[in-house]
This record gives sequence, C-alpha cells and structure tokens, in this order.
Amino acid sequence: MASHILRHYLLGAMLLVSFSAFSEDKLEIPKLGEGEGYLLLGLYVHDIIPSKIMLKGDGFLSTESMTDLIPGDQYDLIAVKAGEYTFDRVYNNALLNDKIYWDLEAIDFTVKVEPGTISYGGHLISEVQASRQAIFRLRNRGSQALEYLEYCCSSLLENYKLKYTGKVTDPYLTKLQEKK
Amino acid sequence: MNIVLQIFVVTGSLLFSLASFAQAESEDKKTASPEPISAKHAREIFQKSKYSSAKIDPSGQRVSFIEHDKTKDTLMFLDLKSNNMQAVFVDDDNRIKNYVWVDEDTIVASVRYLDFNRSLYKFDFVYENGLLKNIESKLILNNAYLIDALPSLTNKIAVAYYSEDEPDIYTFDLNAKNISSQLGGRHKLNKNAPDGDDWIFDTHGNLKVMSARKDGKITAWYKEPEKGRWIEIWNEKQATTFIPLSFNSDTEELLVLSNHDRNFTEVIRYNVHDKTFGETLFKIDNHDVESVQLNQKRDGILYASYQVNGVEQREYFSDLGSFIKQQLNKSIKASGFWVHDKSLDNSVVLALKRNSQQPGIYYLFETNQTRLSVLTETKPLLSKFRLGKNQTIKSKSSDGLEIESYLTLPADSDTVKPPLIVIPHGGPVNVRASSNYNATVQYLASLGYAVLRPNFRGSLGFGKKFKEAAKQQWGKLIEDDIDSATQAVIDSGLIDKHKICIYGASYGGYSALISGIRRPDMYKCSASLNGVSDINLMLSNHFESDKEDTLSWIKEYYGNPETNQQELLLKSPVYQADKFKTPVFLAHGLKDMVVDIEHFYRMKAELKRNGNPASSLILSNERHGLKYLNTNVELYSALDAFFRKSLDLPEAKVLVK
Repeated sequence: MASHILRHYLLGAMLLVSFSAFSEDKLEIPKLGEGEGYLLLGLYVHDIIPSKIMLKGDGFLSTESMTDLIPGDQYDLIAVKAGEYTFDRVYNNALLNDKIYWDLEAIDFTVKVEPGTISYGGHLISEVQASRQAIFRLRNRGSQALEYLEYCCSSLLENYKLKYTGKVTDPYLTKLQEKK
Repeated sequence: MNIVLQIFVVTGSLLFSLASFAQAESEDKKTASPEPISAKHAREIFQKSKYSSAKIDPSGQRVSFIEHDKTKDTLMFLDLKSNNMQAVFVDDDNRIKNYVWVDEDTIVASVRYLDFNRSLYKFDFVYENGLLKNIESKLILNNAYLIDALPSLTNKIAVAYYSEDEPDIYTFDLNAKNISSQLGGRHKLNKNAPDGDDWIFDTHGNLKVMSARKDGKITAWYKEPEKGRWIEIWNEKQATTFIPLSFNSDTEELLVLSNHDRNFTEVIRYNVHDKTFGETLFKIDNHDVESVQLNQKRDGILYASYQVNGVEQREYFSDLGSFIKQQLNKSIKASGFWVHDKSLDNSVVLALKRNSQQPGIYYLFETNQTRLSVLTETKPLLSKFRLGKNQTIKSKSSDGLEIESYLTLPADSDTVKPPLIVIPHGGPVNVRASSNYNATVQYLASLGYAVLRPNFRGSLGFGKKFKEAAKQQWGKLIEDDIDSATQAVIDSGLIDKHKICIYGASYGGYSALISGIRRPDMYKCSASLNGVSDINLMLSNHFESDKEDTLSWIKEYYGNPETNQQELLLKSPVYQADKFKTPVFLAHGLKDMVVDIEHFYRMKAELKRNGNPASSLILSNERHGLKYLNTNVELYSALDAFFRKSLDLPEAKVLVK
C-alpha cells in the first residue's frame, strides 16, 4: 500500500505564506524501501472542482484517489514501488454517488516511477465546465513542482533528484537542481 | 424605438447621431471610479463593436443585426420600408454565435450557452398588410448548431447534432411539426462516414463532400451517388492546402483552394473520381488566394479574395459583383467597400466599408436606383479619436528574402518622431499581419506610438516557398526578417530610432524575448503575452499528446528535441536569460492551453535569477487569446506604463479630434 506522506494545496497569493508555514521537520517522510521511489502528483483545478480523481498503478493494491480537491495548484507525494502509475478517472459529483466519471485511460497520463528518485510526469490540468463538458490535459510544470518540494521538504531534495518522466527530457529541471 | 432614428440615418445626419452617442458614453464614465488615461482609453478602444453580423433578408425588405451592450446582445430587426425596428431576441449571456435568414419570414439562430451546450432557435415574422404584427420564437433543437442554410431549398437547413461525441449531420424541414422525427439513424447523412469537421452540400442540398484536419493531415471524402459509400479523395500533410469549396452534382465537379504542385494557392477544379487536379479557375500573381465566397444559390463563385499590401482585394465572378464594386467605389469615391450581403434578386445590397482606421460601416445600396445610404458604424466610439495611418514597408532580410511589413504612424507624427513598437505576429506559420483595422495597433497609435507589423517568412498569403522558408528558423532567419523591417523603418527616418520596443503574443511573445537578447542595440525593451520561452518545453508537451503524423510536422518546422535538443536550448530565452540587458514585461493567461503558463514561470524565475526582474501579470480568466474587456484594460495600461518607463516617454495622452 502506498504511504501518503504529504498533501499540499497552493493558493495563489497565499503561496509563500503557505510554504513558510510548513516545516520539513514536522513531516514524517518515510524512507524508501528496496525498489521504491517517490511519485509526485501535480494537479491544477480550474472551474468546477472534481469530487475525486482516481489513480491506478503497479504499486497500488487497490485504487488510490486524490480527494478533498480545491481550486488551483495541489500535490500528492507518495512512496510507491517502482512501476507505472496513471491518472485513471475523474469524478465530478459526489451527490450523484460518483456514478458519472471521465475515463482518462485513453489519454495515457502515465508516470514511470524509478527507484530512488522523485518521479514527476507533469500536472494534470482539470477544467470541468459542466456535467458533460470537461477538458483534461497533461502539462510539464516541473519548475513549479520543484519549487513546491523546495519549500515543503527540501531535505528530500538533498538525497533525491526530481525527475520529469515525460517522453522528452527536461534539461531545465536538471539545470535548476544543479544550481542548488 | 428612439434608437431607430439614431442608427438609421443617411450620411448627412450621421455625425450628429454619433456625437450624441459618444457624449452619452463619456458622461456615463464620469460616474465611474477614475482610471489612468491609458486604462480609460483601453476600455474604449477594446470595447466590443456596438453592431455586428448585419444581414439582409432574401426579399431585400429587412435588415437584421446584433446590437451589443455591456450586459447583453440583442438580435434586432429593421423594416426598411417603415423604418420600424424591433428586438427579436434578447441574449443576456452573449450566446448568439450565428444566424441566417432562411426565407423572408424566418430567421434561424445558433446559440451557445456558458456550459458549451448549443441550441437552435427559429423566429417567424408574422406580417399583416405589409407590417410586422408579431414575432414567434421557438426552440427547435438542443445540442445542435447550424452548418448550412441550404438556400436552394425551401424551409430546409443542415445541422450538426450531438447525440454523442461526434456530430451527426441532418437536413430537416423547419415547418415540420415534429423536428425530432427527422433525426435518427435512418436520416443521418454521415452514417458510416469517417469523422469530418467540414461538410459540403451540393446545389440540391445533398451532403457530398466532407473534410477533416487531424494529426497533421488534411483528409477529404466524397460520397458516391450509387452505393452511398464515402470514398477518400485526399489525404496529405497539411503543408499542402486543400480546402473543398463547392460541389456541383450535375457536373460532378469539386472546387478547391489548393497549392498542390504550385507555389501559390489557387481556385482549382478537382476530379473526385480520378483524384486529379484540373483547370485553374482563378489565381493571382505572387499572392495566395485566401478565401472564396460562393453565390447564394451555391452554383458559382461570387468572389475570391487575396491581399495586396495587406489590403483585401476581391475578384468578382459575376457581372453584378463587378457592377456593385464599380458603383460603390464611384458613389463613395473610395476603395474598401465590399458586398456583405444581398437580396436574392440583387436589388438591395448590404455593403461594408472597412480599412485600417475603420472596423466597419454598413451601407445600404439599392442597385436599381444606384442609391447609397449609411446604416451604421460598427464601432461609433472610434470617431472621436485620431487614429494612425498605415503604409507598406519592404525590406531585404539577411539572406535576401523580401519582407513586407505594415507601419502605422500616429496622427501627430508630422510634428514629432514617434517611438516605435514592433509587433511580430503569432504562428509563426499560416498567420499573417494585414492592414485591416486592429484594436491593439490603433490603441498604441492613438497614444502616440508608431507600430510595425512584419510579415516574416512563414506568414500566410505569400506562397508555399515563403512558408517553408520558416522551417526551424525560430530565433534565426525569422528574427532577421523582423530586424530587417525595423532597420528599414529606422532608415526611413520616420521614427525615433532610440526608442524602439518589441511586443508580441504567442510566437510573437517568443520573438520579442529572443529579439531582446539578440539585438539590445535595436530593441530597448521586450514584452511577451502568452509567449513561448522554452522551445523544448513546448515540444515536450506536444510529444505527450500528439500522434506521429502531427509530430513529424512539428519536428520539420520546429526541430526535434530527441535529436537536436542543444540547438533548441540555444534558441530558448529561458536558457539565454543571462544575456538579457533590457527591461522585460511578461503576461500570461492562467488557462492558456496552447502555451502553458510554465513558460511564464520559467522566464520570470530566470530573469530574476539573473538580476533583471520582469514586470509581470497573470491574466487569471484568460486562455491563449484575450476574451475579456477588463483584461485588455489591465494588460494594455500596464504595457503602456512599461513602454513609457523603458523608453523614457512623457505621460500618456490620447490623440483626439
């Protein structure tokens, strides 16, 4: 089972305040076991807030989900076995008992988690506009993801690199981490 | 009803009417909280047109148009005999997207709601003794929009109807009691057809040709009459233009706009059976034909249009068209008049005049009496400003390629050498600058700036070779083209060569950033709206979502990050930020789906890291284009302040009459 170590919401102008309010010492960051890596999930919610987003992957015994979503930027950092993980479904109405959902499988939002790294496959951008209208897209916001990690858990970055796992390598992320 | 007299006046009394209107707006503003001059001016210039979408009914007795105000759009109806005007449909959410006169008594309108659902409405005009007695409105279909009014058929229209993701195409009788009985598999015209996004009906109202742009390709299909099968007639990379225009079932002839095996786009016959190009119907030396308007019966072309020096030119294909053009120009003694709409018998023409200083004036032209009267200006508020005048600039780029650009000089440029804002367009391919009215250009010109808009390599309208010359020339020859245009303006002595900034959106934003790095001697500041700052990042997002056909086009035009990443980094402002010596302004739509806001964050962070922090603005409700008036006000007043500070200019002053 995945260990959720951290869940942050970043709210526009409150960004710095929120960041500074967190101290890495207060977080219980589990050590990685053999063959494990960290999975950093980034989500940006525009418009209607989904009730939950389901995940699936090689290291999950059952389906995981991101819940209690809010507008704007938010992250989940999970320790998982190396393997492939993906955003699976987006539900937009708990009142309908979550019977209606958008299937993201065809869009292939897959993150390949490697052992001993923090793997990031890009942000899922959610724009649910109506009961049947939604736009989902995957965008590499690596600089934002790194900024988040620097504020929330910089000790993690002393031992592990943040790696963008998309098809094209991101030298900017490498450059940013070399400067540290 | 009072407004009838204000809008529908002949030329002589128009000025009074407009002056009254402008005064009313100005008084209204006095009660609002005070704004900087540049913001107040932006609020006026970027305001939506007051009137748009004017159309004439088939009998030529009535004109309809959409009137916009701050809170609503209203579809209006004007009886030309009685001057009686009436609201047909009041639309609180700016939902009317398109409408047509189906016959002299009926309008069908497509509306789109905020949640993107669409509906079709029908408005029947009931007359008694020639006078309008009543308007009956009816919602006829949800989840549908109008694709063709089928003018050769009585009371029939063609619609795209969404029951699932892809649209079903139907034609149906508007007068039938039960519209839904005309829907369903039996009636579906694109049954067993590939997914298309453009549909061509023949002169009998039969769906004959479909086309689609997908995955970097253009595909077209023809429906064979015997078995009703859809046969692929075209499937090529989108680098070759192929736009089906009309299909004549009697001659089995398809007309297309294409540049297949030639440099410039022409109007050509295409044989759907042996898939070969035939006779060219119309071409113009050294210019692409950019669009074609069919006549009302769809059995011929009304005109083909192209641009010379950024000004639209129309070649009419009928005696009537030529007569109208000749008479309009003779009556007004000026060019830039176009047939906008006309009655079926050609007796009444709705004409539109537009140019670089005028977004549009609607005229009514009665061809039998050769009488012309003004209906209305589309944007009456503009009449109080002294707007800029355009001229064409030709320059030679570093490799000798000729570049055509448009320079707009402010009205006071005869007394003072103005500062210059260079605005490269987006794209960079298949987009162009023109000499038409442009709100951004005239906003800047009326604040005293000169504006230069280069058509660098890749721009639309200059042929296939010119477009292909832009391949992988980001930060290289494209910017050489722009610099050559700027240098030509400097050499002309028309502007202050020490006060030049560069500003653009999307690719234009990239160009502004990389030009600031390349030529700090020429450009004293750079401003980017939704600009690409990291080419590798842009391509990496394409590689996550696009199919191989699209990717091959992207690699060809932008470069391949898998094999040539280093070169992309050398041309990306984010990786060259340490070379920036001049001030930078960054703005980005938070919801931009084309160029993600990560480009903004990276550029902003790198400039700060290198000791040159940018002025910046996040546009929270905007996507890749600007939709909201308040955003335009916020952005352009901030831009004006940035230019003034960077170029050491005096406080903003609006040039008014």
